[in-house]
Amino acid sequence: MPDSPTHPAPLRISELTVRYGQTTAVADVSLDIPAGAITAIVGPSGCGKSSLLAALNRMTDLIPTAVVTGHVRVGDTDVYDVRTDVVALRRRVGMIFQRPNPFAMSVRRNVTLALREHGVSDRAILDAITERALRDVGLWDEVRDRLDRPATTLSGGQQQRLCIARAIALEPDVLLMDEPCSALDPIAAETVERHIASLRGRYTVVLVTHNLAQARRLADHTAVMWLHDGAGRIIEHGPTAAVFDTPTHDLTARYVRGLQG
Amino acid sequence: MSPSSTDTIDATRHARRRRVIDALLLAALRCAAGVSAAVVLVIAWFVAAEAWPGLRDVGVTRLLTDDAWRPTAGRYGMAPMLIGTLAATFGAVLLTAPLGVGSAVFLRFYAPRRVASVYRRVVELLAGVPSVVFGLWGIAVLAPLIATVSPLGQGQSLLAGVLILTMMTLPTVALTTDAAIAAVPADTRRGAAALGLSRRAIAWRVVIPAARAGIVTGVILQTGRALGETMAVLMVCGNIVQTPHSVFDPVRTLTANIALEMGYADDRHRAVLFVSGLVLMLLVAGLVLIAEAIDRRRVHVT
Repeated sequence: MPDSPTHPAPLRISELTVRYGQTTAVADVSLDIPAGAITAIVGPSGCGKSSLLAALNRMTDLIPTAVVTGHVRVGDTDVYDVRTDVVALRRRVGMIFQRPNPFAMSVRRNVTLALREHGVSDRAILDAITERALRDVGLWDEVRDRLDRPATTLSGGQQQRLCIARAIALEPDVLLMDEPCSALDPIAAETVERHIASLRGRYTVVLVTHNLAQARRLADHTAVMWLHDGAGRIIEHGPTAAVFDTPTHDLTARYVRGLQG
Repeated sequence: MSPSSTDTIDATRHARRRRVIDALLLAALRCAAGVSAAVVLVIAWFVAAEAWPGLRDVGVTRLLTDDAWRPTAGRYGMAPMLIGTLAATFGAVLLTAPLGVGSAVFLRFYAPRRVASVYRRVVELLAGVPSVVFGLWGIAVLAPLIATVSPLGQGQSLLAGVLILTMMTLPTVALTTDAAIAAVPADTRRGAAALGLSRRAIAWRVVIPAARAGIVTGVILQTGRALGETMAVLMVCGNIVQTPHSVFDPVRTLTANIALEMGYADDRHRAVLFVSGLVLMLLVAGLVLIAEAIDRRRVHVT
């Protein structure tokens, strides 16, 4: 188990619509997200980026008014098939939130809790996975002496990297990140960003960000969302360089030049 | 006089009036705070002063070791009643804590929305039922029920006291636990769900541990309430002064003893009753201090 390679999976989103009651947050989005790459979803605030992301691992299930139509496939799994086990799905599709949300328990237990719940009980294996996950986010040397201290004593940036470690300890195929650096100070944000870049190839990363410079630095592919008739749509997507340097959509062109949004 | 200088004068007058109102309000609030603090101190002082002759003339050792409670005959053994009080209280806490936490978890994690809102209303209502009503219900329904299974053939017993206290403290423990769970950030819950944790694991492994301090505080404060509860316990416990050997034995609690005997007690008897009052006060105060210490730690950790 600790040496199993990850299997980054592609995501195929087709005709996806997310509604909250009467409001449509995401309208008719179709997008292919390649395996093992970092794909950024950018756009102005309130354009539905986070709702789109939350629909990919069915976090929308937690919002009573949310209704999702359309299809999402992660590898061979149809996310919205009634036979899909949402708990198993979320194990394969990890998520990092805007604000670091470590659990009110020790650093070690933050990483091992989900593993234990999923049946790993061998202490040596848990220790090995914990060390590797923490090394992957550059946190091991900072916390190796205080693994049993409360995670809430870590700094904000460390907490966010712990949350990433917690997710990758489960060896997911896909990592969804919802503005993972926006609640951090610039130096912590830079560190987190560097470690996100190091995940390239091992996981399929979908990164929602309103920081265009970050998208440009990190992402292989970029999709631009825009509010159209009150609902978020994707107006342009492609290789990051193409979207930024030779945008085809007028709004994209203005947006990436900082003139709109 | 130019309009602008009139404005300035108006503004100054306004400011002065605001300052006067502020000062009056502050004085009123100080009075209120002072009165509340004074009442507590006066009561504590009064109880201690009344209890003093009992402590001086009888002494703690005799209060705990005298072979019987015959205050008119100079025998002051309160130990059975202290044991009765502690047994009834901790029996109730042992039942209330798991039931209260369980029902709050059910409300927050399992109950359909509509059921949850009705259920919460009912629990709130239950928390407002006066203790004498619980006592009446205990005498009319609970005690006869216990009598049918009791080897002693009667229902007024330690068990009846435990169950009544459980019912009285349960709603509040359920509500404080519910509030403590609600205070756990939604981000924590979403983070747990995003790791593919089951509903059971989210509830018991993540949210309850995060809400632990609030839950424990609620249970401790209700323990204090159970310790001090008098009326319902007086009505259902049987009030025989004896150390209980089974849950079916009738017991008398310290609170019931005070209520029963204060009317005719005098001299040393009266002072000894005040000693038992003092003991109850100290027990409750100790519990409140523990609850506060836990609360303070929670503030520091998060």
